[in-house]
Amino acid sequence: MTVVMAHAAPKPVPAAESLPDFDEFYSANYLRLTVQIYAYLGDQHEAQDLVQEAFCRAFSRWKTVSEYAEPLAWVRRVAWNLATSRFRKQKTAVNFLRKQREEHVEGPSPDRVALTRALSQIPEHHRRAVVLYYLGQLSVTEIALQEGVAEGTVKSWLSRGRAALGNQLTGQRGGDDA
Amino acid sequence: MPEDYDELIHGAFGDFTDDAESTITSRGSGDVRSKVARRRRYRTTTVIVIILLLALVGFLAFG
Repeated sequence: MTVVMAHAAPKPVPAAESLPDFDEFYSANYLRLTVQIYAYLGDQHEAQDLVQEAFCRAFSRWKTVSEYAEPLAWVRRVAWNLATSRFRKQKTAVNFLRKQREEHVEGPSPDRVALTRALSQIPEHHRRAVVLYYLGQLSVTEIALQEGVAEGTVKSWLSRGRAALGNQLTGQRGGDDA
Repeated sequence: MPEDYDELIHGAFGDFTDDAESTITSRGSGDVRSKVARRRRYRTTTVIVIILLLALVGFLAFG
């Protein structure tokens, strides 16, 4: 996968001797990134695998990636690209059947299920924007850069996604209260 | 208004994050390092095998 870092140039490049340590970088960002991908995909183990893969790709070219102004932006973009590919494959019947298999694991909390369910009901682009904005705490500009679209498009996705997600969440709560 | 949902969504994502972070287990950067090293070994071995095969084919054809 080729990732173009169009936004990597503005900040000064660190000297070679001050390259950030990969282990620190990994432990500082793994969890946060996994939570974002988990919210997007609705599958925790899949999210862990994809984020681990994104870090593998970063490590295999760490000398280059660590010199980017924002190495995290690179890893996040790779992880999200992997997640998008995986998400599209999940639409196939094979994945549908795989999800039907019986599993005996401790279930997630009702809140987590409610949000995952609500997110699954909104369109993919809106979901990506909402997760990156609320969970990833990215600005509209940063989301636009990552997604390769205009800021106005991101604002539109956010507005529609926020409304749809809000409706889903209030609808679910209304249903639970009834 | 969609903005009215801001607090609700922030709260939902906050709960989600707290809950998810308690169950996500990191395999650690050591796993990343060993996986990358394994891939490099595999790639190197594959290249060596291909070169040897090409050399063998060349030897059999012209040797």
